[in-house]
Amino acid sequence: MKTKKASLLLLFFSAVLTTVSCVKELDFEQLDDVVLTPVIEADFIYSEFDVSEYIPDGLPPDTDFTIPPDVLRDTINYDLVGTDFAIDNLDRVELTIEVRNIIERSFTIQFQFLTESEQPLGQLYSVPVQAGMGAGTEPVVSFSVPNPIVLDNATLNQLSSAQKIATEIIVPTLNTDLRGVLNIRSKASYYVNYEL
Amino acid sequence: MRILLCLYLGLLGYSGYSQNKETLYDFTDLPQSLMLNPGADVNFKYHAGVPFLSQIHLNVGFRGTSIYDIFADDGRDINDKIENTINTLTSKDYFTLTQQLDIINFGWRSKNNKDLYYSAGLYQELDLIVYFPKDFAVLAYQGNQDFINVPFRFSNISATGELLTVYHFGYNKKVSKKLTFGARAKLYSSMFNFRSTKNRGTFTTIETPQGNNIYQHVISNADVSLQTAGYASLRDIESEDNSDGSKQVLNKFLGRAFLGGNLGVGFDVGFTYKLEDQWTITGSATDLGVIFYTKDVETYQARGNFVFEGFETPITDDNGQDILDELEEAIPIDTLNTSYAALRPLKLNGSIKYSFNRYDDGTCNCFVEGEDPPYQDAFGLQVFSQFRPKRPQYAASLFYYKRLSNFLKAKLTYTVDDYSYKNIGFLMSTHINKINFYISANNLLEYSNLAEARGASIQLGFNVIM
Repeated sequence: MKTKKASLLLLFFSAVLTTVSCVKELDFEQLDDVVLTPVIEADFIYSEFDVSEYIPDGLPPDTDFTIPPDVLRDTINYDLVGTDFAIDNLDRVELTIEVRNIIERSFTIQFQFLTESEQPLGQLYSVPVQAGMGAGTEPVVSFSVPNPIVLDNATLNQLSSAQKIATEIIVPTLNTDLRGVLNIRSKASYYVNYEL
Repeated sequence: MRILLCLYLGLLGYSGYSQNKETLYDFTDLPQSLMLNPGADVNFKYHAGVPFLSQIHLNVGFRGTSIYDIFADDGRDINDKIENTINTLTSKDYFTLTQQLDIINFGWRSKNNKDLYYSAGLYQELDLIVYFPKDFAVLAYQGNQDFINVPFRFSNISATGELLTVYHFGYNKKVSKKLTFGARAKLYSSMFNFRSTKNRGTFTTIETPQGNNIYQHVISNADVSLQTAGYASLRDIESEDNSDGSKQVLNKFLGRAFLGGNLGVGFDVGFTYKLEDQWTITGSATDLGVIFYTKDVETYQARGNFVFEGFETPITDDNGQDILDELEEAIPIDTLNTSYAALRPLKLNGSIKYSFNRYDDGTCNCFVEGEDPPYQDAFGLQVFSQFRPKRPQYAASLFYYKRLSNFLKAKLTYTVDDYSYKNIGFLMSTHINKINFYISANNLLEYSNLAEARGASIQLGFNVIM
């Protein structure tokens, strides 16, 4: 009798556990909707142009001179926007370019995305730099126009084979009396949209 | 899908919080109580667990969240829910999985000395704990834009996992009418181990108004390592791409299970002491042990400092252009084969119990055998602690034991622990002739919706007991 009662109780206990233990209102299909949308801030290019380093030796004071254009041209490897991940999962990239100028001349900074074989891709971006106020003054700060430069999804698709960036500082006629530096500082904000 | 999930979570239910088995502890009607306290006051002549069925134990626990918090079908956007969860969780929250399977378990009372009870056996255990890597979850989910000048800490990455078999032999002695003492020697054979627990260093994006560029991205004092034992040879099997790869892996695991793995030694100790007639205190320390990882060991380690300021142009001198190459040079990933040793997660149990309502219906022949008739009721307090990589886990339980009949014994527990403040557990054990079956569950209040539970538990098993 007691044995029977015990077995019955046990059976009841097990049955209650298995029937009652269940899961309400869960929807694992929501996993399809998971989107990672981090915004990654990373340094982009930087450069310093110090006039005094470019004054040719032996020139008298107050003499105009020019710098051959290819001296301030450069190509760097940059394939971040050209990776498969970037093409599939980057919503947009915002480039903020800030130039601080002390030199009493206005400049233009240009950059261009290139393919592996250095063919230009997309548009040429240029940043007008206002003239500074000379050595010993606070730098004059210029930003790109527009600020920031937005590489939207369509543009990024266009840049999908980008492997390099060509940069150039376009320098006007300089004078041996000029002093001061021009600093280019920039960052890229990568707006990721990664669907799980 | 839903049915499968029910089944799955139902199975998860066969589990216990961490390795706390609060219903089984000091439940001396069951030989499994000897595994929690080798000094449990047991009165068997012999016992034999049904092979592979004497104890099945599986547990899953979440500290800080539940499946329901994220997957509830409540119309809210899952991304909001994930973000909320990430914000609520801290790097002290974790996910644990422990599974044990008794392969053999038996015991016998010494013929020469009735006060001695021996027990021995073999069980398999899987133990995993993964702390929530909060800083890197935030980095992956939100990025660093809102966290300029805030360090992301590598110490957030902390996890260990172990698959092993344990051979054990226990000794239990009634030293006096008041004191029972026991000890158990253990030999561990680890099939697979990984641990990454002592990581240091930070990654910070620092705003530098006067610097070369807008930011500095700094990896500072990084020291990140992952120790593995039993992984390298498995990887080799996989890379060889043999058609019988899975068979080879299985054979390897079986070999390691039978003492071919990384070996370790350990012991359990415990006691039961009757303070007065009706008051009893018990205590135990289990898995005081260490495993020496000498075979098939691979440690991956990355140490160093790195600063990235962007791409300098025009490239002066030989400022390298490839940032990834520079990073690899500054913080190389080394693969080491040095042996290591790791402590088993030590577990401490203690209890105080008051017994009352002595069984006396005149049918008991206990007096004839020179023993006191058993009490039918008892209540008391139990505490549990387990050592984990970051800090110990604690639990405290109130319990009530009831001997409903010779055939049926039960125990009810109320537990407060890392996961919840309202954890009700229940154990029922039937003894029909020599055959014993027990089943135990905890977190009963959550059974109406297991997904909302942060863990749930059932243990069950069959024994032959005399």
